[in-house]
Amino acid sequence: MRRKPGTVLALEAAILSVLVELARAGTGSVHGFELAKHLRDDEGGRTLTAHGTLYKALSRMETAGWLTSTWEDADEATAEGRPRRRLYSITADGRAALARAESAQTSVRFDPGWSPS
Amino acid sequence: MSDRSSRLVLGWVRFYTQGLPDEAGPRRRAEIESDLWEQCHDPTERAGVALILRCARGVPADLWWRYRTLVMTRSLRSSDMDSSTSWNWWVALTGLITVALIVTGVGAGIDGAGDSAWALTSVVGSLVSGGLILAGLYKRTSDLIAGSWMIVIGALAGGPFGLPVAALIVLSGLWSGNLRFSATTQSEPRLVVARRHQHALTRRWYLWLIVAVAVAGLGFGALYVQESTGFVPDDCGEFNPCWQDTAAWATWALSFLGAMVSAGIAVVLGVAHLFVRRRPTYPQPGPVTST
Repeated sequence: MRRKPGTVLALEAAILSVLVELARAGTGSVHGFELAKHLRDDEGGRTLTAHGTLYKALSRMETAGWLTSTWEDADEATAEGRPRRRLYSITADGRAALARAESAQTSVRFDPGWSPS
Repeated sequence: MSDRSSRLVLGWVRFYTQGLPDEAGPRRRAEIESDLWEQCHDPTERAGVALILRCARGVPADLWWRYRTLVMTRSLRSSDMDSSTSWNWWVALTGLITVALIVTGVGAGIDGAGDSAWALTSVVGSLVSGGLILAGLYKRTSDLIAGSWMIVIGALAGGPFGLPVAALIVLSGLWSGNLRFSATTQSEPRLVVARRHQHALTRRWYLWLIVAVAVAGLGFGALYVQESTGFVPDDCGEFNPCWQDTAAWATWALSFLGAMVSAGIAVVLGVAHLFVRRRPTYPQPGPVTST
């Protein structure tokens, strides 16, 4: 089934949310594994998001213009003796998509109009 | 353990990214390699079996991503280079299987002429099924989606005995991105189709030709050796089956298949070189993202 254009899936909203939080904390970009760890911690889960699920979502979101990605500097990776990381950061379109997803979630949430306190 | 698990996961990634365009396949492999390294070197994370389970949970997403990437690549090639429905190994394989299906069905019908109902079912069923598949192969040159549906319906029309054939055709069609059942959307990845990829396709054909000729050569060589050494005893037969007879039959089948595939590829390469239109320009590599 094909989803409507502009629809934000739960995983995509979670990824955007993590990226916004990290940007607020001063981390402009993050690699896939770090993202998987944050997603797990935020959801209180025990397992990391599967490779296929995570990178497929990232690829789709990048195509939609919600994220940008670049390879980190090769010298930095070589100096630390590890493979190069692909770093993802959120775009203005991504922030708008997250805001849209959050407002859609709020509008369908039951609101009794009063608080028990 | 984590080394072995990493190798296993990377093997799977190499498997499902083979044949993908230059931008998509190597990038996915590099990203997973980096991810695996990070997980293995993170003291707070488990590796080993956890790596394999994490990979296994994403297998459906991996396969779907591969299919969509291939479909988009072919779609781009269709608009840019007019060769999305060009001949390739899947078309050749499907054609050969279908011809074999028709010949077997009609032959079985003629052999079983004593039972007229069964004979008629066999002949008509194989002709309808095979005809639909061949018509679908032709139709997909002008309408990929309609052609794909015709091929699938034709393959399924083979009935219970044709199910393995249908499964082989459909699964290999999905794996190679040759079957498409709906229009692609703009939200799919913009993949780079560079000149070197076009050359790589031709190179791959020649590679397959070499492999097929080698298989046929080995098979015929083995047959010659078997014959000259009297490998199969004279008393092998219906009431006295022996493994040498089975081995000889398997060698013959391998030789025949290798020869047929070689001939098919040679014809495809010949036709490609004679008739494929050569364009002076190709799309320039562009950014992968649409930002």
